[in-house]
Amino acid sequence: MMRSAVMVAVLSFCLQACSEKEDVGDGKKLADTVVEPQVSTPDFNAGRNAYFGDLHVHTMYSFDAFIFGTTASPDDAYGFAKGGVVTHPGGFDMQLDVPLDFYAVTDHAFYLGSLRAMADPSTDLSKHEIAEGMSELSDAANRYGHFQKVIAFLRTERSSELLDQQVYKEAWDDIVAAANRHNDPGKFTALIGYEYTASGDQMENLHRNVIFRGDTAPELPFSRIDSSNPERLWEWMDEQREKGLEALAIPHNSNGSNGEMFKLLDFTGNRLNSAYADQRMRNEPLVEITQVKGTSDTHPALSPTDEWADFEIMPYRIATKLDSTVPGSYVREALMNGIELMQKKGFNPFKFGAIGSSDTHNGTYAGDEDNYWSKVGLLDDEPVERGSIPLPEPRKGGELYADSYYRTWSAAGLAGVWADENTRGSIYDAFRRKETFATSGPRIRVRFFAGYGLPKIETKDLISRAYSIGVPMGGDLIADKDREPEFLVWASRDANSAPLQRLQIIKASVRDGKSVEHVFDVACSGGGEVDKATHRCPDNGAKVNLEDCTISDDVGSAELRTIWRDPDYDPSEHALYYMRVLENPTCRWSTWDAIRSGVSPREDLHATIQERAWSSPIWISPPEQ
Amino acid sequence: MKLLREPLVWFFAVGIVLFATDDYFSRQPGRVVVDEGVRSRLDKLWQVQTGNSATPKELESLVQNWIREEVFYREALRMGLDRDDSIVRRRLVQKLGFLIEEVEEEGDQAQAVQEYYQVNTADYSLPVRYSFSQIFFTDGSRLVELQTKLEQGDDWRGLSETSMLNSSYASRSEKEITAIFGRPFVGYLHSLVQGKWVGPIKSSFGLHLVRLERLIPTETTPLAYIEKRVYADYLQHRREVVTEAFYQDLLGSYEIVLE
Repeated sequence: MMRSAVMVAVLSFCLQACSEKEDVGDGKKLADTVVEPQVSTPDFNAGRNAYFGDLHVHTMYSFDAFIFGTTASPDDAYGFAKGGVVTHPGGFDMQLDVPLDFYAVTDHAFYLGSLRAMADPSTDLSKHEIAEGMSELSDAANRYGHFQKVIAFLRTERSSELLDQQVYKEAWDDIVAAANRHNDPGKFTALIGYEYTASGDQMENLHRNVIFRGDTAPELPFSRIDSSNPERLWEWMDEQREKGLEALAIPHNSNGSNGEMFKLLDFTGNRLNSAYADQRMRNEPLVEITQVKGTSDTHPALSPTDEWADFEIMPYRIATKLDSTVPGSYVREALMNGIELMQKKGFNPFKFGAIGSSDTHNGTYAGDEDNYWSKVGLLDDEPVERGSIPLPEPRKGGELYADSYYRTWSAAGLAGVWADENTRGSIYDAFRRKETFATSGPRIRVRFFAGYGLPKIETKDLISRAYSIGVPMGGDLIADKDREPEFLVWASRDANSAPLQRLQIIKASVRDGKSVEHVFDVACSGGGEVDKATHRCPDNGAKVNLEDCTISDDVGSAELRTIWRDPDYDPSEHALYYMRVLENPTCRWSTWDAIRSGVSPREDLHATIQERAWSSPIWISPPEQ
Repeated sequence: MKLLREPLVWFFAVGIVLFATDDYFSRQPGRVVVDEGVRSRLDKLWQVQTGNSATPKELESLVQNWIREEVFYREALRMGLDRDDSIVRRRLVQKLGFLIEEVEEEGDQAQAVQEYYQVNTADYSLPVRYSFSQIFFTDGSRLVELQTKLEQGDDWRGLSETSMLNSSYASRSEKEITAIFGRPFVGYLHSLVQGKWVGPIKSSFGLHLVRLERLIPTETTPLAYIEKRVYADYLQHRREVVTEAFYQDLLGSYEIVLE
C-alpha cells in the first residue's frame, strides 16, 4: 500500500517534469495544447523509431487543385495515406505500396473552398467575373488559363472579393474534422495544417506550410490575404501559441523564391537582427528541401565541388517560366550564412532541420519514378504534357517537346522523423527537436549523432549509448579544445528500392570570416575504401540498362555505417555537419515515360538519378571564451 | 411498395409538382416578372461585389441587365439550346444528385448499423499477421556456426550482425513485412514454423534465420471499436441505395428505346 502510494507520487511528478516543454528561445515556452496522462502505445521505443510521412498535400479545397480537376477531399487524402485508393482526375487509381505513418493536408488558405463554390451556380461566388467558365473547365490549356487568371486576380487590390467567409470557414472546419477523425494514436498521425501561400511582387515564392501540434485549430488560418509578409505570419503564430495553439511553419520551394527565401534582409529590407532570428527560429525550425517542384538542398553554381549538387534542379519561380536567381534560394547556402552570422553577430536565423514532402495537388502523394503521378491533375498526367516524350507534331520553330516546366519536376519527396512512438505529440516534438530527415522518395533511414567518445560501430547498444553520450541530428554540440568530436553516420536502404552507393558528410564551417563547404565520402559500398586525399569512394560500377531500366543487382550495400572524425577539424570555428546517402543510379520518371512510349529518353534531361536522403544538421560552436 | 413509404420519395414527388406549377405561372411565355425577390437577389450580389447596397439608379441598371439576361435565357430555352449540351446536362444531373444524397439522419439507427456491419464483416477484418524473431547475417558461410550455437543454447540475440532491423517484430501483415524486408522475403513466410529457426531466408539486406513466434489469423474488428467508421460507411451505403431506388422508380415512368 505504502509502496504504491510512493509509486503514484513518483509517477505524477514525472508526468509534470516530463511534460515541461523545451525553451524555444526568447524565454518563451512551447504551448502545451493537451494535458493528459502519457500512456505509451505498443511500438514505443526509447531508442526511437523512424516514421515516414508527407506534410504537404492539397485537396479539392485548394483553388488550383480544383482547377486541375482534383475532387479528392481531405477525408479521401487521409484515407489514401492509410493505404486507401484515390482515383486521379486522369482516370487511373493511386495507391501506396506501403501506407504512410503521418500526414498533413495543407490546402492553400487563400480562397480555401472558393473555387468549388464558384463552380456551383447556386452560390454568390459563382456570379463573380472570375468564376466565369469555372463550371465548364475542360482541357489542360483551358485549366491552365483559369489557374493563371485566378493568380493574376489574387495579385490585385480586389483579391479579397473571392473570399466568402462562410465557404472559407466550412472548408477549414472540414479539414480540421478530417484530421481529427483519421488520427489514430500508435498507428497513424493525422496533423492539422494549411499552406500560407505568400509571394513577392515578382512571383518570388515565400510559401510555408503551417502544422499544428494538437487537435484544436484557430477559427481560421492566417493567409496571404491577411498579409504577404511572412513576419506577420510568425507574429500570428506567436499569438496562437500564447493561446495554447502550438504550430510551426515549414518554408518550401526556396528554389523558386528568386533569392528571397533566405536573403540577408527582412521583408521590408532592413538588416537582420537577433529578434528576427529568434522569431524565425521559434516558428520555422524546419525547411522542406525536396518535393515535386525540385530539390532545394544546393545548386551546382553554389557548390562547385559537390559532384552530386546537380540533382533535380527546378530553375523557375513558382507557377512561371521566369528564372529564379540562385543565391538566397538554396538551403545549404542559408545554413552557411547562418553560422557566419552566428560568428559575426551572435545570432542565426537559418538554423533549419530538413524534411521532404510531395506538394501533391492530387490529394495523394507524388508516386515513384516508375509510377509517377506528378502533382497538377489534368495539366500533366500525360507524358506528352510533361515533356518527357515528343509532341505528335513539333511546335513552331521545330521544338519537339511541349513548352512546359513539368520536365524539371520530380517524383519526390518524403519526411522522416525519429520519434518514440507514432502519436501527434511524439512526431511533432521530433519536428521541434529537428530530429528529422528528408528523402527524394525511397524509405531510406538515416541515423546521425555527434559526441565525444562514441562507442564502436559494432557495439550492441550503440543507439542508446549514442543518445546518452552524444546529440542526434538537429542537435548542438559545444566544441572542446582538448577532444575531437566523433560522428556516428548510418544509413539503411529501402528494401524495395536500389542499394546504397556511398555515405557522405557535408560540412560547412566559418574560416577567416567566410563559410566554406566540404563534401566527404565516409563509407563506400561493397567494402570500398575512401581515398584519403580526395575523400571519395571508388566508382562501384553500378549500371542502369536504359532499354528497360533494370539495374546491376550485385553492387551496392544494404547498410552503410561508420564512426567518422573530421580530418580538418578546428574547435575555434563555427561549423555544421549533415549526412547525405546516395543510392545506386536508377531511371528517372521521364526515362520510364520514354521507354513505355517506345521513344528515346529526352537528351536534355538526366536519364538516371541517384535517389538520396539528407539528415538535419548538427551544429558545433566554439566554447564560450 | 416499399418505396412509397420512403419519406424522401414523397418529398421529391411533392417538390416536383410544386416546382412545375410555380414554373408554369412565373414562366408563361412572353411574361417576365420583376418582383421583390429578384430585386433583393440583385442587391445582395451587388453588396458582395462592391461592399455597398445598390443605389436606386444602380438597382435600375441591374434590373435592366437581369431582364435582358432573362429574355435571352428564355429564348435560348425556347430554341432548345440547353439540349445536347453536356455541361447543362451534367450540371442538372449533379443538382438532382445533391438533393437525393441529403439522407436524413433519423433517430436510432444502431440496429441498422449493426446489420450493415454483419453483412460487410469482410471490410472490417484484419489480415493474417506474423510475430517473429530474426538473426541477420551477410556471410553465408556463417550458417553452420550459427546453427551450432543455437543448438548449444546460445542467446540468439547475440548472434545477429548489427543492422537497423529489429530482432523481433510483433503482429506484422505481409504488406508491412514487404516494406521492411523487400518482396522476395515475403514469399518464404508460408514456410515458417512456430518456435523453430528456419532459414537462411534472403532479403534485400542479406540472410536471415527466422523463428515464427505466433501466427495471428485474420480476425474481425469488434463493432464497438470502429462504430464511427461503420456508421459513416453505412450512411454512404444508404445514400447509394436511395439514389439507386430513386433512379429505378423514375426509370419506370420512361420507355427506353434502344435502337
